[in-house]
Amino acid sequence: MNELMGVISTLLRAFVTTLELTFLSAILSLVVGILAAAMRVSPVPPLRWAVSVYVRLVRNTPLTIVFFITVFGLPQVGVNFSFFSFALLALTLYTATFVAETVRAGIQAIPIGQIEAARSIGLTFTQVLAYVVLPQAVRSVVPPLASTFIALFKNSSIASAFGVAEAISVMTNMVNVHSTIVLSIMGATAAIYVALALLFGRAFTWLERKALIAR
Amino acid sequence: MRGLMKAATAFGMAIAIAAGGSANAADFPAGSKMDQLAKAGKIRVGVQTQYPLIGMKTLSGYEGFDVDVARLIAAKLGIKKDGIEFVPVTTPTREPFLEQDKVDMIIAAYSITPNREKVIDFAGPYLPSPSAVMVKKGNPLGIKSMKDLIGKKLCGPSGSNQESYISEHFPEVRKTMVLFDSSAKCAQAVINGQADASTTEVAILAALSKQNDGQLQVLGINYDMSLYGVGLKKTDDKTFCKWINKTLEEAYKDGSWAKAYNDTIGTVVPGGAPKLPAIGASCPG
Repeated sequence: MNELMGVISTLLRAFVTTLELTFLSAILSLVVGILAAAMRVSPVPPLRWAVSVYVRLVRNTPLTIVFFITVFGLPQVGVNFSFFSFALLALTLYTATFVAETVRAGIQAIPIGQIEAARSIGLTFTQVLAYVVLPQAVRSVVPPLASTFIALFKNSSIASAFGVAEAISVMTNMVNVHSTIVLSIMGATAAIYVALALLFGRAFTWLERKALIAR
Repeated sequence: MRGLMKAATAFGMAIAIAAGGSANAADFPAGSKMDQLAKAGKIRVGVQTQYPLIGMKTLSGYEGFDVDVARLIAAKLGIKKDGIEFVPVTTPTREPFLEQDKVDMIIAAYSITPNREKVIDFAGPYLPSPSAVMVKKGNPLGIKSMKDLIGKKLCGPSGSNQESYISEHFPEVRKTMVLFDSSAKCAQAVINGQADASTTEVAILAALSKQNDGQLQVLGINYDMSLYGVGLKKTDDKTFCKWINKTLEEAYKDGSWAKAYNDTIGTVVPGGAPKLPAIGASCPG
């Protein structure tokens, strides 16, 4: 039992890296995703095409391959970051495509009449987007975004295979050393993941309620 | 109707062949694990899939020294090549697979440690396996010993024996170590300049340096002289374990062990086949 407690405290420290990766990537993919969604509905065709290609390409590629190309491909062309930054980049590139599609769905749910009304009083496309469309669209997609970010939280474990000592990487090392309690170590890791994901779920429910009141 | 007759004949022949196969079983004590396996004509062996020359899954099947040792053991049981089912294992699945009878034995770069011997039995050891260090060709950082790796990015496989050994014996080196899930990725990281050096079993490093012709170099720094054993489910009855030991010693004496070594690891590691380590890990005598 003492052995397992020691392992759990090491694991908890590794979860700090997992959380850092998740939060930073969530914020970045929210920014990139909303920008991409805005471009996707913009009146400028090349912008629409560029985002459409990016979303279709990256969203349909397995995350491990996105990691592979980011971590080992970019250095071949002279781009070199730390493994943590590479992991952040790969996770953001991947998650932003899901955010973009979710936000686009939110945008398309807004009655066209509102947009026409906004344009008719002289607002530009950017102003319509910023003051009329996006504030409503983002609010309505809080629940599906919650799922996307919980997926991101668990997807961050792929970084363990690419030089980042996050929770799963440390779990694998613990399993090698403490071979008598393999299942307990994996069970404990899963329990921490579930507990944290439930916590995120609660936070998003709160956010959803806030968003409802504001409307 | 004719087709049916043909099928029936084929079926009858299959039974006859199966019955013929069990002739070997008479050599083993009734009810022993060897007897069961020989009668079934099948054995499930856990192997690594990403260790070049040791346990590697390729398009044409499994290959490597571990795989050859599994075939040697299976042959002594009278099991044909296609009666061997290779089961891919990883660090976290090895002990559970044995405990839950998912495999009959594990030959997967499995180092014998006191901690592991608490939960499973080891036959063997069947191979001494030192770890080494690999760097970019020409050793630009001038690394000569493990101490030179302090503050450097040493790449190793996550959850490996090297990772545990370095944590214990070279904690200063461990601080700046980076971990990947395969040695091949570490090799790529060294080529890209993302890591300064890579470490794992000497045979794997030698294979990787051969694959990446002219870009990498294995240094003469050897550490962690761990011994590989055949992992078995822990039982009070050590008959199977002792039988494997006897089989390994016979294979060493008749040269088939050395042939397996020379066909795999020996193709890249100079110095010829090593001596078989003293047998008797979990089941001496």
